[in-house]
Amino acid sequence: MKNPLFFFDVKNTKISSVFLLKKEKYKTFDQYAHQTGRTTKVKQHTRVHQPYIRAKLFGGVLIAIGGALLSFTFFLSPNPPDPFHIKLAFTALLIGAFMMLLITEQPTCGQYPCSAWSAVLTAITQAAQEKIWVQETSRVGNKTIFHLKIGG
Amino acid sequence: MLISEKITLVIALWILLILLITNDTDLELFFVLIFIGVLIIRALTDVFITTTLKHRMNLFIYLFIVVFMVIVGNKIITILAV
Repeated sequence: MKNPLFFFDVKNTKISSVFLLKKEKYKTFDQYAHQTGRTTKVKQHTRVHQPYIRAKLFGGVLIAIGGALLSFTFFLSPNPPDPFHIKLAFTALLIGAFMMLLITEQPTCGQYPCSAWSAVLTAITQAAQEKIWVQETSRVGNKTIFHLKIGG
Repeated sequence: MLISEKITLVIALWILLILLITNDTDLELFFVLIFIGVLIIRALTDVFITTTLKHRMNLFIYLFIVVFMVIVGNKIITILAV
């Protein structure tokens, strides 16, 4: 493929953005965003779809539900506090807190500049003559390993 | 799936399981079992997780230690009062 399409957050499955890239025929996400003047809008759109942002949103919702249930059980309910309701509230609070505080790993573009990886992946793509995506990253000690996906 | 997401998923499933198991029992058992689960997960994933994640999990463990101390102190006071 002569003009490979790159999108570094493929592990987050932003299908709409990939379709936009294909339609507009821009090589990189940054190029697309800058040339179309939609940088802020696209970044906002993609930011909400990041797994760690979605986890924070969902965790925040769970914490709000847990807090509301806890306050209802202790202050608003005319009956004496039900242990099951308290447990349910603490379950929501704990799961929400775990989601907000533990899922914080940024995607590839959040950790490294896209332009730097664009050059490397362009070379690999041209050599392999296939579309190559960064599917997942993992860490072993100080090294970051990029799991690439070919084709698709 | 990232390691932090897997850990969060396992902890969430553990908490839900504890919620179902300790349906009619006291709150103390609920918190102690969650604490044990978090400690076990922290110990088992020690090799695989980053330092930041370790510190964040330690925060929860410190919080649960405080809760555990309150529970134990409460039990001691109850036993001594009798």
